Amino acid sequence: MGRTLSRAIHGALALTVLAAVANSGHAQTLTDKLAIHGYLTQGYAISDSHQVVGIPTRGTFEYRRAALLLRFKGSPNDAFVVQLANRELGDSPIDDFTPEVQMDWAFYERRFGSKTTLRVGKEPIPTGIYNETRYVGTLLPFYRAPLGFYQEGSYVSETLNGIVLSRQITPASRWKLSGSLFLGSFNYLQAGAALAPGATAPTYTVTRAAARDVLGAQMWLQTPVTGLRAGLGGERRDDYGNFFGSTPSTHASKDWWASLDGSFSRLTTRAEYRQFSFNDGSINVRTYYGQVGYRILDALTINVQRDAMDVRFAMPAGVLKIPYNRDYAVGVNYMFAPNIVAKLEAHDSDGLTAEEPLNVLSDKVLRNDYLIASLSVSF
Amino acid sequence: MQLKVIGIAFLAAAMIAAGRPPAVKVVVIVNSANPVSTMRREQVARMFLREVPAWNNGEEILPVDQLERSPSRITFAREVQLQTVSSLKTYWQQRIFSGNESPPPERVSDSDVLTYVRSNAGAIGYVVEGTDLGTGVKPLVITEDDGDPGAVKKHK
Repeated sequence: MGRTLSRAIHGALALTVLAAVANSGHAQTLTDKLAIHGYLTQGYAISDSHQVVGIPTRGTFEYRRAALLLRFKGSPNDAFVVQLANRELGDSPIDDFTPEVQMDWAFYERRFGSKTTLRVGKEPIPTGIYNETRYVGTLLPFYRAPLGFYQEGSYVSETLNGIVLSRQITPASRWKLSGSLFLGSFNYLQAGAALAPGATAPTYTVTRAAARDVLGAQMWLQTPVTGLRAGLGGERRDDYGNFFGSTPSTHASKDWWASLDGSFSRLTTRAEYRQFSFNDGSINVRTYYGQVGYRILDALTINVQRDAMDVRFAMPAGVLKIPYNRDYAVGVNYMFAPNIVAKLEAHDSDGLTAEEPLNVLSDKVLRNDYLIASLSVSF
Repeated sequence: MQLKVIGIAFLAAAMIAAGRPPAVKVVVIVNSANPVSTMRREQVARMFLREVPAWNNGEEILPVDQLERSPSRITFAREVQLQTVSSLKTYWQQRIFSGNESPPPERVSDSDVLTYVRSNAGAIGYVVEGTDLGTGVKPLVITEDDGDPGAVKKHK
Protein backbone atom coordinates (compact mmCIF):
# COMPACT_ATOMS: atom_id res chain seq x y z
CA MET A 1 0.00 0.00 0.00
CA GLY A 2 2.87 2.33 0.98
CA ARG A 3 4.66 1.55 -2.29
CA THR A 4 1.49 2.17 -4.27
CA LEU A 5 0.90 5.49 -2.54
CA SER A 6 4.52 6.49 -3.06
CA ARG A 7 4.27 5.71 -6.78
CA ALA A 8 0.99 7.63 -6.96
CA ILE A 9 2.66 10.67 -5.41
CA HIS A 10 5.58 10.20 -7.80
CA GLY A 11 3.19 10.12 -10.76
CA ALA A 12 1.21 13.11 -9.51
CA LEU A 13 4.38 15.17 -9.10
CA ALA A 14 5.57 14.26 -12.58
CA LEU A 15 2.16 15.17 -13.98
CA THR A 16 2.16 18.52 -12.21
CA VAL A 17 5.57 19.44 -13.62
CA LEU A 18 4.68 18.30 -17.13
CA ALA A 19 1.27 20.00 -17.02
CA ALA A 20 2.98 23.23 -16.04
CA VAL A 21 5.38 22.92 -18.97
CA ALA A 22 2.57 21.90 -21.33
CA ASN A 23 0.43 24.84 -20.28
CA SER A 24 3.19 27.42 -20.28
CA GLY A 25 2.71 28.16 -23.95
CA HIS A 26 6.44 28.03 -24.62
CA ALA A 27 7.47 26.53 -27.91
CA GLN A 28 9.36 23.30 -27.52
CA THR A 29 11.18 23.79 -30.78
CA LEU A 30 14.15 25.09 -28.83
CA THR A 31 16.23 26.08 -31.83
CA ASP A 32 15.98 25.44 -35.53
CA LYS A 33 18.18 22.39 -34.88
CA LEU A 34 16.90 20.85 -31.65
CA ALA A 35 13.37 20.08 -30.50
CA ILE A 36 12.38 18.39 -27.24
CA HIS A 37 8.92 16.96 -26.69
CA GLY A 38 7.33 14.67 -24.16
CA TYR A 39 4.13 13.10 -22.94
CA LEU A 40 2.83 11.57 -19.76
CA THR A 41 -0.34 9.73 -18.90
CA GLN A 42 -1.00 8.88 -15.27
CA GLY A 43 -3.88 6.56 -14.60
CA TYR A 44 -5.75 4.86 -11.82
CA ALA A 45 -7.27 1.51 -12.77
CA ILE A 46 -9.41 -1.01 -10.94
CA SER A 47 -10.95 -4.31 -11.94
CA ASP A 48 -13.99 -5.96 -10.36
CA SER A 49 -13.15 -9.65 -10.48
CA HIS A 50 -10.01 -10.65 -12.45
CA GLN A 51 -6.68 -9.05 -13.24
CA VAL A 52 -6.46 -7.95 -16.87
CA VAL A 53 -3.67 -5.91 -18.47
CA GLY A 54 -2.16 -5.42 -15.03
CA ILE A 55 -5.33 -4.02 -13.44
CA PRO A 56 -5.89 -5.68 -10.06
CA THR A 57 -9.12 -5.84 -8.08
CA ARG A 58 -7.59 -3.66 -5.35
CA GLY A 59 -6.85 -0.89 -7.88
CA THR A 60 -3.53 0.57 -8.93
CA PHE A 61 -1.90 3.94 -9.50
CA GLU A 62 1.03 2.19 -11.16
CA TYR A 63 -0.54 2.80 -14.53
CA ARG A 64 1.57 5.19 -16.49
CA ARG A 65 3.26 5.85 -19.79
CA ALA A 66 5.70 8.65 -20.35
CA ALA A 67 8.36 9.53 -22.87
CA LEU A 68 10.86 12.22 -23.67
CA LEU A 69 11.65 12.74 -27.34
CA LEU A 70 14.62 14.61 -28.75
CA ARG A 71 14.93 15.46 -32.40
CA PHE A 72 18.14 16.94 -33.70
CA LYS A 73 18.10 18.26 -37.23
CA GLY A 74 21.54 18.24 -38.84
CA SER A 75 20.33 19.75 -42.11
CA PRO A 76 16.99 20.22 -43.91
CA ASN A 77 17.25 16.57 -44.95
CA ASP A 78 18.93 14.87 -41.99
CA ALA A 79 17.70 14.28 -38.46
CA PHE A 80 18.49 12.09 -35.50
CA VAL A 81 15.70 11.10 -33.11
CA VAL A 82 15.92 9.57 -29.65
CA GLN A 83 13.03 8.68 -27.37
CA LEU A 84 13.31 7.51 -23.76
CA ALA A 85 10.24 5.91 -22.21
CA ASN A 86 8.85 4.75 -18.92
CA ARG A 87 5.78 2.51 -18.70
CA GLU A 88 4.02 1.03 -15.71
CA LEU A 89 1.48 -1.72 -16.28
CA GLY A 90 0.06 -2.15 -12.79
CA ASP A 91 0.49 -5.66 -11.39
CA SER A 92 1.10 -7.32 -14.73
CA PRO A 93 3.92 -9.89 -14.72
CA ILE A 94 4.98 -8.29 -18.01
CA ASP A 95 6.21 -5.32 -15.97
CA ASP A 96 8.98 -7.47 -14.48
CA PHE A 97 10.45 -7.87 -17.96
CA THR A 98 10.61 -4.21 -18.86
CA PRO A 99 13.16 -1.70 -17.52
CA GLU A 100 12.12 1.43 -15.64
CA VAL A 101 13.47 3.60 -18.42
CA GLN A 102 14.14 2.23 -21.86
CA MET A 103 15.60 3.56 -25.06
CA ASP A 104 12.48 3.43 -27.14
CA TRP A 105 13.69 4.92 -30.39
CA ALA A 106 17.12 5.85 -31.74
CA PHE A 107 17.15 6.41 -35.46
CA TYR A 108 18.67 8.45 -38.22
CA GLU A 109 16.26 9.92 -40.76
CA ARG A 110 17.18 11.01 -44.25
CA ARG A 111 14.76 12.89 -46.46
CA PHE A 112 15.00 12.65 -50.26
CA GLY A 113 13.11 15.60 -51.69
CA SER A 114 9.65 16.18 -50.27
CA LYS A 115 8.27 12.70 -50.95
CA THR A 116 10.67 10.06 -49.69
CA THR A 117 12.03 9.39 -46.21
CA LEU A 118 14.39 6.69 -45.00
CA ARG A 119 14.82 5.76 -41.34
CA VAL A 120 17.62 3.56 -40.08
CA GLY A 121 18.01 2.33 -36.50
CA LYS A 122 15.36 1.56 -33.92
CA GLU A 123 12.22 3.25 -35.16
CA PRO A 124 8.44 2.94 -34.79
CA ILE A 125 6.79 0.43 -37.11
CA PRO A 126 4.12 1.95 -39.35
CA THR A 127 1.28 -0.43 -38.50
CA GLY A 128 -2.34 0.63 -38.53
CA ILE A 129 -3.75 3.85 -37.18
CA TYR A 130 -2.19 3.85 -33.75
CA ASN A 131 1.06 1.88 -33.58
CA GLU A 132 3.42 4.83 -33.92
CA THR A 133 1.52 6.89 -31.33
CA ARG A 134 0.11 4.03 -29.27
CA TYR A 135 1.21 5.45 -25.90
CA VAL A 136 0.41 9.14 -26.46
CA GLY A 137 -2.61 9.69 -24.24
CA THR A 138 -3.55 13.06 -25.71
CA LEU A 139 -4.06 11.39 -29.11
CA LEU A 140 -5.96 8.29 -28.02
CA PRO A 141 -9.71 8.15 -27.37
CA PHE A 142 -9.13 5.63 -24.55
CA TYR A 143 -6.20 4.95 -22.23
CA ARG A 144 -4.78 2.42 -24.67
CA ALA A 145 -5.03 1.61 -28.33
CA PRO A 146 -7.48 -1.29 -28.89
CA LEU A 147 -6.06 -4.33 -27.12
CA GLY A 148 -6.82 -7.03 -29.68
CA PHE A 149 -5.17 -5.23 -32.59
CA TYR A 150 -2.27 -3.56 -30.80
CA GLN A 151 -1.80 -5.75 -27.70
CA GLU A 152 -0.04 -4.30 -24.67
CA GLY A 153 3.53 -5.14 -23.81
CA SER A 154 3.44 -8.56 -25.47
CA TYR A 155 3.11 -10.32 -28.84
CA VAL A 156 3.77 -7.24 -30.90
CA SER A 157 6.34 -4.49 -30.93
CA GLU A 158 6.09 -0.78 -31.34
CA THR A 159 9.55 -0.62 -32.81
CA LEU A 160 11.78 -2.30 -35.35
CA ASN A 161 15.55 -2.60 -35.57
CA GLY A 162 16.06 -2.03 -39.24
CA ILE A 163 14.91 0.35 -41.92
CA VAL A 164 11.63 2.03 -42.80
CA LEU A 165 11.28 3.59 -46.26
CA SER A 166 8.26 5.87 -46.70
CA ARG A 167 7.09 7.55 -49.86
CA GLN A 168 4.22 9.67 -51.06
CA ILE A 169 3.36 7.67 -54.15
CA THR A 170 0.91 9.91 -55.97
CA PRO A 171 1.25 13.70 -56.18
CA ALA A 172 -0.86 15.79 -53.83
CA SER A 173 -4.34 15.58 -55.30
CA ARG A 174 -7.84 14.61 -54.25
CA TRP A 175 -6.73 10.99 -53.88
CA LYS A 176 -3.36 10.73 -52.19
CA LEU A 177 -1.55 7.40 -51.88
CA SER A 178 1.41 6.93 -49.56
CA GLY A 179 3.25 3.86 -48.39
CA SER A 180 5.96 2.53 -46.12
CA LEU A 181 8.11 -0.53 -46.47
CA PHE A 182 9.91 -1.93 -43.42
CA LEU A 183 12.60 -4.51 -42.96
CA GLY A 184 14.45 -5.71 -39.86
CA SER A 185 13.88 -7.52 -36.60
CA PHE A 186 12.49 -6.99 -33.13
CA ASN A 187 12.23 -8.71 -29.78
CA TYR A 188 8.92 -9.15 -28.04
CA LEU A 189 7.37 -10.66 -24.95
CA GLN A 190 4.86 -13.46 -25.08
CA ALA A 191 2.50 -13.73 -22.14
CA GLY A 192 -0.24 -16.21 -21.36
CA ALA A 193 -1.21 -19.44 -19.69
CA ALA A 194 0.88 -22.38 -20.85
CA LEU A 195 1.16 -26.02 -19.91
CA ALA A 196 4.79 -26.97 -19.33
CA PRO A 197 5.89 -30.45 -20.46
CA GLY A 198 4.96 -32.94 -17.74
CA ALA A 199 2.91 -30.41 -15.75
CA THR A 200 -0.70 -31.14 -14.81
CA ALA A 201 -1.89 -27.54 -14.54
CA PRO A 202 -1.10 -24.49 -16.65
CA THR A 203 0.91 -21.57 -15.31
CA TYR A 204 0.82 -17.94 -16.37
CA THR A 205 4.09 -17.40 -18.17
CA VAL A 206 5.97 -14.52 -19.73
CA THR A 207 8.77 -15.34 -22.12
CA ARG A 208 11.10 -13.46 -24.41
CA ALA A 209 10.77 -14.18 -28.10
CA ALA A 210 12.31 -12.76 -31.21
CA ALA A 211 11.04 -11.90 -34.66
CA ARG A 212 13.65 -12.05 -37.41
CA ASP A 213 13.59 -11.29 -41.12
CA VAL A 214 10.60 -9.03 -40.67
CA LEU A 215 9.34 -7.65 -43.96
CA GLY A 216 6.21 -5.55 -44.10
CA ALA A 217 4.36 -2.70 -45.72
CA GLN A 218 1.70 -0.15 -44.85
CA MET A 219 -0.28 1.79 -47.44
CA TRP A 220 -2.62 4.73 -46.85
CA LEU A 221 -5.10 6.19 -49.29
CA GLN A 222 -6.30 9.68 -48.43
CA THR A 223 -9.74 10.17 -49.96
CA PRO A 224 -11.27 13.36 -51.35
CA VAL A 225 -13.48 13.41 -48.22
CA THR A 226 -11.51 15.57 -45.81
CA GLY A 227 -10.41 13.48 -42.83
CA LEU A 228 -11.23 10.08 -44.35
CA ARG A 229 -8.48 7.60 -45.19
CA ALA A 230 -8.17 3.88 -45.72
CA GLY A 231 -5.17 1.69 -44.99
CA LEU A 232 -3.90 -1.75 -45.83
CA GLY A 233 -0.80 -3.47 -44.49
CA GLY A 234 0.91 -6.77 -43.97
CA GLU A 235 3.99 -8.36 -42.48
CA ARG A 236 5.87 -11.64 -42.57
CA ARG A 237 8.49 -12.75 -40.07
CA ASP A 238 10.23 -15.73 -38.49
CA ASP A 239 9.49 -16.22 -34.77
CA TYR A 240 12.00 -17.76 -32.41
CA GLY A 241 11.59 -18.69 -28.74
CA ASN A 242 7.85 -18.36 -28.36
CA PHE A 243 5.79 -20.94 -26.52
CA PHE A 244 3.49 -21.79 -29.39
CA GLY A 245 5.95 -24.59 -29.97
CA SER A 246 7.63 -23.06 -32.98
CA THR A 247 10.29 -25.25 -34.46
CA PRO A 248 12.85 -24.25 -37.04
CA SER A 249 10.50 -25.57 -39.69
CA THR A 250 7.32 -23.92 -38.37
CA HIS A 251 8.36 -20.46 -37.25
CA ALA A 252 6.96 -18.46 -40.14
CA SER A 253 4.31 -15.97 -39.09
CA LYS A 254 2.23 -13.65 -41.19
CA ASP A 255 -0.29 -10.98 -40.49
CA TRP A 256 -2.23 -8.46 -42.47
CA TRP A 257 -4.57 -5.65 -41.53
CA ALA A 258 -7.04 -3.17 -42.95
CA SER A 259 -7.98 0.21 -41.51
CA LEU A 260 -10.60 2.88 -41.97
CA ASP A 261 -10.01 6.19 -40.25
CA GLY A 262 -12.50 9.05 -40.34
CA SER A 263 -11.82 12.22 -38.36
CA PHE A 264 -14.38 14.93 -38.99
CA SER A 265 -15.24 18.13 -37.19
CA ARG A 266 -17.15 16.55 -34.30
CA LEU A 267 -17.27 12.90 -35.24
CA THR A 268 -14.47 10.37 -35.22
CA THR A 269 -15.00 6.84 -36.54
CA ARG A 270 -12.30 4.21 -36.73
CA ALA A 271 -12.32 0.51 -37.51
CA GLU A 272 -9.54 -1.99 -38.08
CA TYR A 273 -9.28 -5.70 -38.78
CA ARG A 274 -6.16 -7.80 -38.31
CA GLN A 275 -5.37 -11.43 -38.87
CA PHE A 276 -2.29 -13.15 -37.47
CA SER A 277 -1.11 -16.55 -38.53
CA PHE A 278 1.52 -18.25 -36.34
CA ASN A 279 3.47 -21.44 -36.85
CA ASP A 280 2.81 -21.77 -40.52
CA GLY A 281 -0.91 -21.30 -40.01
CA SER A 282 -1.55 -23.75 -37.16
CA ILE A 283 -2.64 -20.86 -34.90
CA ASN A 284 -4.76 -18.05 -36.28
CA VAL A 285 -5.81 -14.92 -34.47
CA ARG A 286 -8.49 -12.62 -35.83
CA THR A 287 -9.15 -9.31 -34.19
CA TYR A 288 -11.19 -6.26 -35.06
CA TYR A 289 -12.54 -3.17 -33.40
CA GLY A 290 -14.80 -0.23 -34.08
CA GLN A 291 -14.65 3.15 -32.37
CA VAL A 292 -16.99 6.10 -32.51
CA GLY A 293 -16.34 9.40 -30.79
CA TYR A 294 -18.61 12.42 -30.75
CA ARG A 295 -17.56 15.82 -29.46
CA ILE A 296 -20.70 17.04 -27.74
CA LEU A 297 -19.06 20.23 -26.47
CA ASP A 298 -15.82 21.83 -27.61
CA ALA A 299 -13.97 20.18 -24.74
CA LEU A 300 -16.13 17.13 -24.06
CA THR A 301 -16.12 13.96 -26.13
CA ILE A 302 -17.94 10.67 -25.64
CA ASN A 303 -16.30 7.55 -27.05
CA VAL A 304 -17.58 4.01 -27.48
CA GLN A 305 -15.63 1.00 -28.64
CA ARG A 306 -16.12 -2.67 -29.38
CA ASP A 307 -12.96 -4.71 -29.51
CA ALA A 308 -12.97 -8.47 -30.26
CA MET A 309 -10.43 -11.22 -30.68
CA ASP A 310 -10.83 -14.88 -31.66
CA VAL A 311 -8.13 -17.54 -31.64
CA ARG A 312 -8.32 -20.64 -33.84
CA PHE A 313 -6.15 -23.66 -33.13
CA ALA A 314 -5.71 -26.31 -35.81
CA MET A 315 -6.16 -29.53 -33.79
CA PRO A 316 -6.06 -33.14 -34.99
CA ALA A 317 -9.83 -33.29 -34.46
CA GLY A 318 -10.48 -30.07 -36.35
CA VAL A 319 -10.33 -26.35 -35.78
CA LEU A 320 -11.00 -25.13 -32.25
CA LYS A 321 -12.30 -21.56 -32.15
CA ILE A 322 -12.01 -19.64 -28.90
CA PRO A 323 -13.70 -16.28 -28.34
CA TYR A 324 -10.60 -14.92 -26.61
CA ASN A 325 -11.83 -11.45 -25.81
CA ARG A 326 -14.92 -9.25 -26.17
CA ASP A 327 -14.42 -5.77 -24.80
CA TYR A 328 -17.13 -3.11 -24.82
CA ALA A 329 -15.99 0.29 -23.64
CA VAL A 330 -17.52 3.69 -23.06
CA GLY A 331 -15.53 6.74 -22.08
CA VAL A 332 -15.73 10.46 -21.52
CA ASN A 333 -12.81 12.75 -22.38
CA TYR A 334 -12.43 16.32 -21.23
CA MET A 335 -9.90 18.35 -23.20
CA PHE A 336 -8.54 21.25 -21.17
CA ALA A 337 -6.34 21.98 -24.18
CA PRO A 338 -5.27 19.82 -27.14
CA ASN A 339 -2.32 18.73 -25.02
CA ILE A 340 -4.10 18.23 -21.66
CA VAL A 341 -6.85 15.61 -21.61
CA ALA A 342 -8.65 13.84 -18.75
CA LYS A 343 -10.41 10.52 -19.39
CA LEU A 344 -12.79 8.25 -17.56
CA GLU A 345 -13.62 4.92 -19.16
CA ALA A 346 -15.47 1.74 -18.26
CA HIS A 347 -14.85 -1.63 -19.91
CA ASP A 348 -17.00 -4.72 -19.95
CA SER A 349 -14.44 -7.34 -20.89
CA ASP A 350 -15.34 -11.01 -21.29
CA GLY A 351 -12.81 -13.59 -22.33
CA LEU A 352 -9.61 -15.34 -21.44
CA THR A 353 -7.26 -12.38 -21.19
CA ALA A 354 -7.05 -12.54 -17.39
CA GLU A 355 -3.48 -12.81 -16.14
CA GLU A 356 -4.21 -16.14 -14.46
CA PRO A 357 -3.24 -19.78 -15.13
CA LEU A 358 -6.27 -20.52 -17.29
CA ASN A 359 -6.60 -23.42 -19.64
CA VAL A 360 -7.55 -21.53 -22.77
CA LEU A 361 -8.56 -24.73 -24.53
CA SER A 362 -11.17 -25.76 -21.97
CA ASP A 363 -11.98 -22.99 -19.49
CA LYS A 364 -15.11 -20.90 -19.87
CA VAL A 365 -14.74 -17.22 -20.60
CA LEU A 366 -14.50 -14.95 -17.57
CA ARG A 367 -16.72 -11.94 -17.09
CA ASN A 368 -14.91 -8.87 -15.96
CA ASP A 369 -15.43 -5.12 -15.72
CA TYR A 370 -12.72 -2.56 -15.21
CA LEU A 371 -12.41 1.19 -14.94
CA ILE A 372 -9.57 3.55 -15.84
CA ALA A 373 -9.31 7.23 -14.90
CA SER A 374 -6.37 9.07 -16.41
CA LEU A 375 -4.86 12.45 -17.12
CA SER A 376 -2.64 12.94 -20.16
CA VAL A 377 -0.37 15.85 -20.95
CA SER A 378 2.11 16.47 -23.73
CA PHE A 379 4.38 19.26 -24.85
CA MET B 1 -37.76 47.64 -20.72
CA GLN B 2 -36.04 48.99 -23.84
CA LEU B 3 -32.93 49.73 -21.82
CA LYS B 4 -33.02 46.19 -20.48
CA VAL B 5 -33.16 44.76 -24.03
CA ILE B 6 -30.32 47.02 -25.15
CA GLY B 7 -28.36 46.00 -22.05
CA ILE B 8 -28.84 42.29 -22.77
CA ALA B 9 -27.91 42.78 -26.42
CA PHE B 10 -24.81 44.70 -25.41
CA LEU B 11 -23.86 42.01 -22.90
CA ALA B 12 -24.39 39.28 -25.50
CA ALA B 13 -22.31 41.18 -28.04
CA ALA B 14 -19.59 41.70 -25.43
CA MET B 15 -19.60 37.98 -24.59
CA ILE B 16 -19.36 37.02 -28.24
CA ALA B 17 -16.60 39.53 -28.74
CA ALA B 18 -14.77 38.22 -25.68
CA GLY B 19 -14.89 34.69 -27.05
CA ARG B 20 -13.56 35.66 -30.46
CA PRO B 21 -10.38 37.53 -31.08
CA PRO B 22 -10.67 40.60 -33.25
CA ALA B 23 -10.58 39.78 -36.95
CA VAL B 24 -7.34 40.77 -38.65
CA LYS B 25 -5.86 40.37 -42.07
CA VAL B 26 -2.38 39.04 -42.39
CA VAL B 27 0.37 39.38 -44.92
CA VAL B 28 2.81 36.60 -45.68
CA ILE B 29 6.44 37.68 -45.66
CA VAL B 30 9.81 36.32 -46.69
CA ASN B 31 13.39 37.51 -46.50
CA SER B 32 14.05 40.12 -49.17
CA ALA B 33 16.89 37.97 -50.59
CA ASN B 34 14.31 35.35 -51.52
CA PRO B 35 13.64 35.50 -55.29
CA VAL B 36 10.03 34.32 -54.85
CA SER B 37 7.36 37.03 -54.96
CA THR B 38 4.13 35.10 -55.61
CA MET B 39 2.90 31.79 -54.20
CA ARG B 40 -0.24 29.73 -54.21
CA ARG B 41 -2.06 29.42 -50.90
CA GLU B 42 -1.68 25.65 -50.91
CA GLN B 43 2.11 25.94 -51.33
CA VAL B 44 2.33 28.21 -48.29
CA ALA B 45 0.14 25.83 -46.27
CA ARG B 46 2.40 22.88 -47.15
CA MET B 47 5.47 24.85 -46.09
CA PHE B 48 3.93 25.50 -42.68
CA LEU B 49 3.21 21.77 -42.37
CA ARG B 50 6.89 21.22 -43.22
CA GLU B 51 5.95 19.08 -46.18
CA VAL B 52 8.42 20.94 -48.38
CA PRO B 53 11.98 21.13 -47.03
CA ALA B 54 13.65 23.65 -49.36
CA TRP B 55 13.04 26.56 -51.70
CA ASN B 56 13.83 26.10 -55.38
CA ASN B 57 17.23 27.71 -54.82
CA GLY B 58 18.07 24.99 -52.26
CA GLU B 59 17.72 27.26 -49.22
CA GLU B 60 16.06 25.52 -46.25
CA ILE B 61 12.48 26.67 -45.67
CA LEU B 62 12.13 28.04 -42.15
CA PRO B 63 8.48 28.76 -41.37
CA VAL B 64 7.77 30.79 -38.24
CA ASP B 65 4.42 30.90 -36.46
CA GLN B 66 2.83 33.27 -33.99
CA LEU B 67 1.47 32.22 -30.59
CA GLU B 68 -1.64 30.06 -30.81
CA ARG B 69 -3.93 32.67 -29.23
CA SER B 70 -2.81 35.52 -31.43
CA PRO B 71 -5.43 36.88 -33.86
CA SER B 72 -3.00 36.67 -36.76
CA ARG B 73 -2.31 32.97 -36.08
CA ILE B 74 -6.04 32.25 -36.01
CA THR B 75 -6.56 34.10 -39.29
CA PHE B 76 -3.56 32.43 -40.93
CA ALA B 77 -4.76 28.96 -39.86
CA ARG B 78 -8.28 29.64 -41.14
CA GLU B 79 -7.48 31.47 -44.39
CA VAL B 80 -4.24 29.83 -45.51
CA GLN B 81 -4.12 26.44 -43.81
CA LEU B 82 -7.91 25.99 -43.96
CA GLN B 83 -7.93 24.52 -40.44
CA THR B 84 -8.41 25.58 -36.85
CA VAL B 85 -5.44 26.19 -34.57
CA SER B 86 -6.72 23.37 -32.35
CA SER B 87 -6.86 20.81 -35.17
CA LEU B 88 -3.39 21.88 -36.27
CA LYS B 89 -2.10 21.29 -32.74
CA THR B 90 -3.52 17.77 -32.84
CA TYR B 91 -1.94 17.26 -36.28
CA TRP B 92 1.44 18.31 -34.91
CA GLN B 93 1.13 16.00 -31.92
CA GLN B 94 0.58 13.12 -34.31
CA ARG B 95 3.58 14.15 -36.38
CA ILE B 96 5.89 14.77 -33.44
CA PHE B 97 5.07 11.61 -31.54
CA SER B 98 5.48 9.39 -34.57
CA GLY B 99 9.04 10.72 -34.85
CA ASN B 100 8.48 13.30 -37.55
CA GLU B 101 9.22 16.99 -37.87
CA SER B 102 8.40 19.47 -35.11
CA PRO B 103 6.07 22.39 -35.76
CA PRO B 104 7.49 25.76 -36.77
CA PRO B 105 8.89 27.80 -33.90
CA GLU B 106 6.57 30.42 -32.42
CA ARG B 107 7.29 34.09 -31.94
CA VAL B 108 5.33 36.31 -29.60
CA SER B 109 4.83 39.37 -31.78
CA ASP B 110 4.90 40.75 -35.32
CA SER B 111 8.17 42.45 -34.53
CA ASP B 112 9.74 39.13 -33.42
CA VAL B 113 8.52 37.47 -36.61
CA LEU B 114 10.03 40.29 -38.67
CA THR B 115 13.34 39.90 -36.84
CA TYR B 116 13.33 36.15 -37.51
CA VAL B 117 12.52 36.54 -41.20
CA ARG B 118 15.06 39.32 -41.59
CA SER B 119 17.82 37.18 -40.09
CA ASN B 120 17.08 33.94 -41.95
CA ALA B 121 17.30 33.84 -45.75
CA GLY B 122 14.91 30.86 -45.98
CA ALA B 123 12.33 32.12 -43.50
CA ILE B 124 8.64 32.59 -44.19
CA GLY B 125 6.20 34.13 -41.72
CA TYR B 126 3.15 36.33 -41.44
CA VAL B 127 2.25 39.55 -39.69
CA VAL B 128 -0.83 41.71 -39.35
CA GLU B 129 -1.60 43.65 -42.53
CA GLY B 130 -0.38 47.22 -42.25
CA THR B 131 2.62 46.40 -40.07
CA ASP B 132 5.70 48.38 -41.04
CA LEU B 133 7.95 45.71 -42.56
CA GLY B 134 11.11 47.81 -42.57
CA THR B 135 14.11 46.59 -44.53
CA GLY B 136 15.23 43.02 -45.24
CA VAL B 137 11.68 41.65 -45.46
CA LYS B 138 9.24 41.62 -48.34
CA PRO B 139 5.59 40.63 -48.72
CA LEU B 140 4.41 37.79 -50.90
CA VAL B 141 1.38 37.90 -53.16
CA ILE B 142 -0.71 34.87 -52.27
CA THR B 143 -3.08 33.54 -54.87
CA GLU B 144 -5.89 31.08 -54.49
CA ASP B 145 -5.37 27.77 -56.22
CA ASP B 146 -7.15 29.10 -59.31
CA GLY B 147 -4.70 31.99 -59.53
CA ASP B 148 -6.87 34.74 -58.03
CA PRO B 149 -5.60 36.78 -55.08
CA GLY B 150 -7.08 35.28 -51.92
CA ALA B 151 -8.07 36.47 -48.49
CA VAL B 152 -4.46 36.96 -47.54
CA LYS B 153 -3.52 40.14 -49.33
CA LYS B 154 -0.33 41.64 -50.47
CA HIS B 155 0.95 44.19 -48.00
CA LYS B 156 0.23 47.73 -49.10
